[in-house]
Amino acid sequence: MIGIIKTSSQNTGSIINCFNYLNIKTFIIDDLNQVDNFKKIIIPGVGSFNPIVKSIKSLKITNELIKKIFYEKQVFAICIGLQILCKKSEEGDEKGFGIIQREVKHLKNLKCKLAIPHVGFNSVKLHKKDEKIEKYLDKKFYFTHSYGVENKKLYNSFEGNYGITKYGGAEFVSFVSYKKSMATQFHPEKSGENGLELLNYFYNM
Amino acid sequence: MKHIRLIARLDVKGPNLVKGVRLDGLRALGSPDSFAEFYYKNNIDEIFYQDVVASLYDRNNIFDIVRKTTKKIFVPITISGGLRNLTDINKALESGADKIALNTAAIKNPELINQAASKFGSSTIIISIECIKHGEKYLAYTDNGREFTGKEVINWAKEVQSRGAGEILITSIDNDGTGNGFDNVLIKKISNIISIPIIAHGGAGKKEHFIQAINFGANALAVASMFHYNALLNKKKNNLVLNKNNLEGNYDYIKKKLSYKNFGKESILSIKKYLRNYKIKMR
Amino acid sequence: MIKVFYNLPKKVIFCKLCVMSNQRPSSIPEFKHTKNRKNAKYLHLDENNVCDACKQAKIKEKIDWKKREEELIRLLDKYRSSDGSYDCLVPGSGGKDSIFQSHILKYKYRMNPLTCTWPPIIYTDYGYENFKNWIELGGFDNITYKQNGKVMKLLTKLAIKNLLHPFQTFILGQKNLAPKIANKFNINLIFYGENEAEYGNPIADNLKSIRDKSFYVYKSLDEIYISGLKVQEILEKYPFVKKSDILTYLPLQEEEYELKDLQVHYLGYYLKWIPQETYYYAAENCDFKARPYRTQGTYNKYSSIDDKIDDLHFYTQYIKYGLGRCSYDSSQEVRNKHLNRVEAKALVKKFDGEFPDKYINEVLDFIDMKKEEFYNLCNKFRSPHLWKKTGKGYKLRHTVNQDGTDD
Repeated sequence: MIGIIKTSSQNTGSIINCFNYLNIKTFIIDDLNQVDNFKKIIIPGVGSFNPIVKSIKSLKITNELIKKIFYEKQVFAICIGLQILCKKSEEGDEKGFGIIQREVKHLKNLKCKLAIPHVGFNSVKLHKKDEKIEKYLDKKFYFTHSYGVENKKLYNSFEGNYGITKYGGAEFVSFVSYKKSMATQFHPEKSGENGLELLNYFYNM
Repeated sequence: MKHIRLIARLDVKGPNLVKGVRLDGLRALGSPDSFAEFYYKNNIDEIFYQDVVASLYDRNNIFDIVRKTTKKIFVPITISGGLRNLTDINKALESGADKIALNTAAIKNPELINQAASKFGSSTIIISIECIKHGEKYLAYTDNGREFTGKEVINWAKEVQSRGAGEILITSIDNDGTGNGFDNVLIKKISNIISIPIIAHGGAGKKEHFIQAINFGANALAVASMFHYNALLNKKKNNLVLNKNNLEGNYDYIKKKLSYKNFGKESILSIKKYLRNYKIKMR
Repeated sequence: MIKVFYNLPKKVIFCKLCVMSNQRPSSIPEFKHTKNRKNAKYLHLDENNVCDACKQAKIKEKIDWKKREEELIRLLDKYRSSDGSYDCLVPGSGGKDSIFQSHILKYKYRMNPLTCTWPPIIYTDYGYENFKNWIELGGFDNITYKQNGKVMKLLTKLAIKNLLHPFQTFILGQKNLAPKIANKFNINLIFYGENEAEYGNPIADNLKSIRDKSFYVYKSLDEIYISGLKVQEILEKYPFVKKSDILTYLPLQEEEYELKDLQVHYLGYYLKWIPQETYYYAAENCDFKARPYRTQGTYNKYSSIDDKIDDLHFYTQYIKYGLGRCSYDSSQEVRNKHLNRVEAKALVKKFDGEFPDKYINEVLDFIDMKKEEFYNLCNKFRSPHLWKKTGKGYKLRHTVNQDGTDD
């Protein structure tokens, strides 16, 4: 059973459809108390930075709690779900949850010269070799975003692995993993078979 | 290295996939979700559903089709046609669509673009512009190519971008369904002034047309006739056969097993193979 | 006692299956058309309120089209020329139907058709483009008969004044040109498209594929009415018009017809006629282009688009019989099973009777009539049993959506 945190976004439907297809049961989490009941959690995300952060904070989830959930449980955060784990974003004035000590910037400010938003299938290059997950990430996934996590040297406390995507001259972090949790800029639920396999791998880790 | 998407465009009337020429005629070709499934299995990047009669009959039953489709297709799905306000958009997204496209409603009330982008996020909102060439100018139409607005396409496209649209879909009504190629002049005019992704639509007939449109500035190509008629060449194998006893709509073409002329015999896979030679990156 | 014009049925009844009503006029020989329409017939509905056109559509479903095609081939084999001369005549103006007929006869059935055109009263740009493409891309020889403009203007104006029928000169000219051209070029086989019985003219007609002779010949000049006037009246009132100018609008005289073995056939008898598919055929083979905006008064863009007066023609039908262009188009599509009746009703509600303002000024200028005069004329031709005068103008008493003033 996987818990899906209900934010103000609309794509819980897609992710639920994916897990149904994989024969994995899902449950919508809209109450803080329920989070503890789940080992595996999805943070989906379509929308903009401020509203999502606000709505998670309204569930009384604090920075420490997010860290705890991310490090101790098995969390998969998608798209804006990756961005809110960062320090802050150019998209809004709310502070992110700070697990990833990097900033989210508009693709233009990351030197992107092609059309923005970045919409379409693109690849991910893993920073550290990881035989287990490599074969699932060496594929193309669906991106749709105007802001990206800057690819600068990590400052502290994040020991996991990460992956980079290039688009039009910009480079940004498109994948992050720590222990059994991961966060992606791309949408696995919209990436066809590749995405399904990745989600399945995540569930069975 | 160019990043391009191939999008299958499915025009829907009631329970049927339909295809016209220059946005007129409602020849039925089969069930929308069986075609969508076929395209997904053959590596299409996205699916675009257009309800072609929503503005005529004031009804929206495309949501049921999308609900069905999203259970087994896991690439982005866009709904277009008859979306008049934020409530309609919400309904569309809740039925499973990832993106929606507006045309008539946006021209009638441009402020809707700002509101929709703000509420649902820019990348959810595509603005669709249907164009007919008048001399040197291109003018925008609504209601599936029926109503003349007098609005000039280039200016409208600029305005649409500034109001927060995530992508622009440009349809050449003149070329739609003819297989004569995309309107590259139109694509170039748009790409000269627009920085959000441009989806070109209308006229694909040969694989060469695709690389041409890309070179003129298209970021994605929406294709209907060429994909549909090719898929129908192997109806049984592609699982597109219909129950002949339960048909509503213009199925005379299918019943008569008529042929078509103006489209090259290509599959999505063969087109992608061709494009990869030009260093085009797709799904 | 509410007055009833034109010999129309007093009670308005709509067909149960399509959206036509019993007020729909059946075709009569246009040259016998008078203001009171004395012997006119209208669409017949049976005791279950099913109209003849729908009945005909049902019969059409059961036809063995293979057999019919074989009949066609036998007919064509008799007439096909072996020396390069024209063996059949296809009248038309480059619309989707004439493109389909001429193209399929030439390229599928290996005939050598001559096409002939009675040009529209006022060509639309795209209509003229389509005509050119028909000849140049399709590849056909064409005789276009450009009529005496002065006389045509006069007759058109008179037809509007006396019959509220702007299209009469075109109908007369177009129908009657073909036999004359056939005569001159020694062609004995003429092909028209659909049989009018499909649209509700008496069924008896349909079983023969040859057009009813009474449309094509007349006995004496006395039985002729043009623009609602006897020929003698026109010649007396307008001295610049000569008898030779009138002949253009008349069919062959009976004697001339007897001398030739002239056969007039409907292609729609031999090949299943699906209007929407003729559009696709024409687009595919001759780059036929639909109108770049929705036709006013209906929902489609590809039917009858080459004459600027055409829109007005349908509007005057709406005035006289309460049935607009959308009613005609959608009924036909219902019979072809492309639309269901619910959709047809919704379309009629949305578009029927829409005023065709796009070309009205140009048309009125052409015939030199003021708008006021035209509107007054329209109101004079509204049959009181169909129209009620309200504070907001004239409204229909009965509609297929049952939202008329008396429904």
